[in-house]
Formats: sequence, C-alpha cells, structure tokens
Amino acid sequence: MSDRQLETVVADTSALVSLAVPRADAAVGTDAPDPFQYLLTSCDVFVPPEVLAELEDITQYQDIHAAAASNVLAARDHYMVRDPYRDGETPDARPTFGLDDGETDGIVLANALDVDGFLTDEFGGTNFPLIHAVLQGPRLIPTPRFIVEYARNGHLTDEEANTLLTTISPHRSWEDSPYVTQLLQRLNA
Amino acid sequence: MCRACAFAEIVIRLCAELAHRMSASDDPRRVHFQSPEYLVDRLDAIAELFDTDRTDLLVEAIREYIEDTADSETFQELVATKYYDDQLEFETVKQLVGAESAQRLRLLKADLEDEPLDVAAPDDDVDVYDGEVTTVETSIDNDER
Repeated sequence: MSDRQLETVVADTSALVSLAVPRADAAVGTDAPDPFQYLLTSCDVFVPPEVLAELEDITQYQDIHAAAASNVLAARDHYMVRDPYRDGETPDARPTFGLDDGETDGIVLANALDVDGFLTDEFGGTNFPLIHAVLQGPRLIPTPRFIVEYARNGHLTDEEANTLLTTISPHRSWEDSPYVTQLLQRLNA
Repeated sequence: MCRACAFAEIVIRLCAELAHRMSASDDPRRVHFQSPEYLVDRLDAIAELFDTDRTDLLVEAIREYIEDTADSETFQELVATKYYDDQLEFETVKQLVGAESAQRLRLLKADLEDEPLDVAAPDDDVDVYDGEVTTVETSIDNDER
C-alpha cells in the first residue's frame, strides 16, 4: 500500500456535516455529485460514538446542518462506529487535548486503527496545529481538500469540485478562507 | 488530566513563552519619522495632561495598533493569501500573526502544495441513505455547527 493511499478514514462531526450539505440542499439537483456518498463508497469510514451523539444534537435544529446531520445518520449502515476506549491499546478514558469530545475521540480512534486519514473542518482555527501534533500516523485532511482529491483522481471534473466547494462554502464559513480560495485557484489553474 | 499530560502541557507552554521571548527584543531602538506638526502638537498636549512623555504615548499607540490590526480577520486573511502565494517568508508571517497562527499557515501551505492522494472511484449506484433523504430550502445559516 502506498503512503498516499486513502482507503480508511475517521471523520469528525464537522467534516461529515460539510460533506452532507450538498445532498441536503433542496436547490442542488439529485443528479449532482454527492461528496458524502463518495466518501462512503470509496473509503472505509469509522466514527466514534460521540460523533453520532453530536450529529443527533444537530438534528434538533431546523436548518441545512440539521438536514445534513439527519442524512449522515440515515446512512448509518455504510460506516462503522467504534468506541476508541474499548481497545487494549488505547487509553481507558478521553485524553485532554483541548479539543471538543468528538474531535478528541476521533483522533484517538484514528490513531488506534492507524487509518490513512482524519477528516475535519478544523483548518481555520488554532486547533489545526494541535490536531496535527496529536495524530500519530493518520494524515490530517481538511474537508475541502478531500473533495478536491476526487477531481485530482479524475472522479470529478474540476468544475464539479468547484461547484461542490462553492455550494458548501456559505453554509460552513468557508467563503472567506484563504485556504479554500487557494484550493479553488489551484483547481482552476 | 493525568500527570504526564499535565507535565506535557506545562512544557509546551514554557516552550511557547520562550519562543515568544526569543522572537523579539525589548531593547529600545531609536527611530526617526516625519509627522504632520499638528499631530505632534496634540500628542505633546496629551502627554502633558497625563504627565508622561511623547515616547511613552507613541509606544503605547503603536502597541495598540499592532494588537488591533493583527487580531482583525482581514489582516489574517491577507497574510495567509500572501504567504500561500510565496509573497511572504515564514519568518515574516511569524512576526505578523504570531508563532501559533504561523504554524497553522505553514501546515496548510504544505497541504496545498502536497501531491495528490490516491482515492478509489466512488460507486454512484449505491443509495447510502436507503431512501431517507432530508432536504431543506436554502437560506444561508449563520449559526454553524
């Protein structure tokens, strides 16, 4: 297996919701590419139970995030839920990384399973270097980059990837992100 | 927090503080600059009122300006964009936004410049939602989760 392979991933709540936004948006046609469906059919996806609990909380609202979270939960048979603290190799209790519970459990799980990647939206805040530091083997993959990888592998056209990022951006505060702007520029170059 | 984690956190904090101290000297440096006369006159009047001197007020004003500017999102975005475009060196970025933010930008720049990953082809025919799709009419939600 090459070290550039992305076959197994752990995703945190923010990444799952972001990827599920296009399908939850009534204005987006059902024939448009669905990045959440892509994730589940091209990678083995693992999440900790805490992420499911966070998704349940989000479904209580009446907005696109709630619809996206509901869809992630509806796809429950297509990803695996693993408790990161039930394995002999992992800590018995949640460590204090200074991150929220879902992210912390996701990182512990990603390290325990030694997956290829950890998906998160945490690229805009100060937590990014922290997550990078505590991930032992898995690659840290910001959600927008994950979408762009489908274009770089020829599974999406550049225009489709571009449309997906611009569809998700206003709902996830990505539109002012210089990182996302750069991803789009490099995609369109 | 366990003892090992607590110790690690203390070490990280001490390293961060040391790095901050090493990044700049507190030694005074004499600078010369031109200013409209009326500004200097007003500054001197304020200095007299506060029973201080022009230098102290200027240093305080510069400090406040730098803090306000460095905290603004527009400034952070400008630094990031120029750094990603190779118009700023990493050391300059550290001066502009601080070591912690600079480290984040360095990781993201490396991510942008990284080679593609190998991702398998998705299977369009699988209905992962098993027929249960929720959709909403979109208006932009500000309350992000």
